[in-house]
Amino acid sequence: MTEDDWTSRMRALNGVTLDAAQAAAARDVALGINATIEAGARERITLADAPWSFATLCASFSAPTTETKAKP
Amino acid sequence: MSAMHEWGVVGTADAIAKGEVSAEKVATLALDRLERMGPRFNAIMLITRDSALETARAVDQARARGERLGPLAGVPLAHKDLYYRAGRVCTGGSLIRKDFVPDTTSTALERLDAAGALDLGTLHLAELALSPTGFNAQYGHGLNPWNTAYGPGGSSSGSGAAVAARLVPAALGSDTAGSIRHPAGMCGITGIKPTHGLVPLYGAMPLAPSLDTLGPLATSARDAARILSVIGGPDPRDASSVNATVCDYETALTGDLAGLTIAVPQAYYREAATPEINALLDESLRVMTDAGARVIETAVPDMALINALIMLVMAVEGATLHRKALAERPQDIGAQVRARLMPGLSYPATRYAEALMMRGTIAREWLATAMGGADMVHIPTFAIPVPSIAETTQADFATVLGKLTHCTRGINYLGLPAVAVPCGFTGNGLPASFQLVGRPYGEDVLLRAADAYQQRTDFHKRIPPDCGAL
Repeated sequence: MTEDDWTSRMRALNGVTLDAAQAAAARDVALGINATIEAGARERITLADAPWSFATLCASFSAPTTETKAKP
Repeated sequence: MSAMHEWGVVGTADAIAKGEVSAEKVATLALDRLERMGPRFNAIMLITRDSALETARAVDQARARGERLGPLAGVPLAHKDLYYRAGRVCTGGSLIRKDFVPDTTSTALERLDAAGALDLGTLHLAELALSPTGFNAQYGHGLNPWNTAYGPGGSSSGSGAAVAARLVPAALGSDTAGSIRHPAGMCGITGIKPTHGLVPLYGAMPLAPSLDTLGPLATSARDAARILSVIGGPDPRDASSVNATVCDYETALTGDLAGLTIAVPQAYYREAATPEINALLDESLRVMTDAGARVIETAVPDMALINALIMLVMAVEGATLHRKALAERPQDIGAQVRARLMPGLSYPATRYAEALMMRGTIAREWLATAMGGADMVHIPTFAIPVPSIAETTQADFATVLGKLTHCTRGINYLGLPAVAVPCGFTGNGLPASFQLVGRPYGEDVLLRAADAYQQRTDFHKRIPPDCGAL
């Protein structure tokens, strides 16, 4: 995707106008992060897993871990 | 006996409860300090003297009637200017919010009010809560009380500066990628970022709700524990808080670390730290070992992925919330803030969904690898000495910001609690700090460890020059 394509897409989809320098910087950052997460997700996300399991993780730790009185 | 501005939260509350000093006298001193000293650090947005004194007199009258006082009765506080109070301007540190007057009050402020705390006004923050340095192109940079050529850290910049200078004994901040821990660390005080969901977000200006957390900055772990015990707990107006378990954290402060294990990951965190920061971190571990802790060395999972995930989630959610302003009023948003939000408009929806879906998996990976069966993880709050304002506003500011947030930002994606604790000073005379990171809802363990360390050190008691009595 060229910088012009990038700028046009941002304007069309979000109504935001970027100058050339802003567009180049945003595109570079976004492409790098996008590639890293795409690779991480390919290794980790499967149909067998329940999505968004952070709450489940927290629930497993919800009891106080030391001798602490619960707040009245 | 120490001067009144050094009493802290618990000391002040105890003195008022015992009748050793009136709440009105305490409030008057704090208001005078805020008015006279606050502008030196660009720490203040708004002071509400009349309402604070009115509340203080009500506390004194309640005590005179023999009523039971709340745990924060008469304690003078001021907070980051993103907490809504009905009828009071809340700028969020931004021109696009400069005239915003909410018609509701945040859950956190309501709970502080109910505990008897005084609300003295609002404190400076980075624009839209989006800078680790206290940078604000619209309202001026926050200034560090230890040396005004340096930033106080952000985005809770005024909270850090005001507490460090002992203008108020504690202040609320917010933390999306380190915004409580940076100012606590850079100003030499204590700050705790709770588990995501422990403190309800209702009525606090959001930056990225999946990552946002609210918590106190205070001089000591004990003072932070008192406030966290008050503001934590479920709130039907914030569904993410419903399952949170909250304790009276002061009861966890045993003064020792017997039976606890501290994990120290060398890769990524300690490898990035300068030699003088590493020396201070090692010394802090020695103190905690003397207090009874066992120390083990651990590793880390894929930190590049964790960093990418937090940056995507923060940018997407932040850009979503501020898209209208980015489109219609870009001139009213500073260049640094625009540069950090803009990428969020361009990610595919699948990447954002993947980032949220992977959160539990990644958190388990980090807990298994970095914590490795220990009770907490010990890492730097920031791996470099506090940078000067000049260093954080030059052309390659992004590099410095990346170094500053190296050790903090990933913790928000993981959703874990972390407390920042002062542990000495670097060669430039500015504070250094370590973080203790815990399991979900492990705030009691973190505060116990921080308190045990502070009972054996005095860094949290140090006061910046020229911040003594008026």
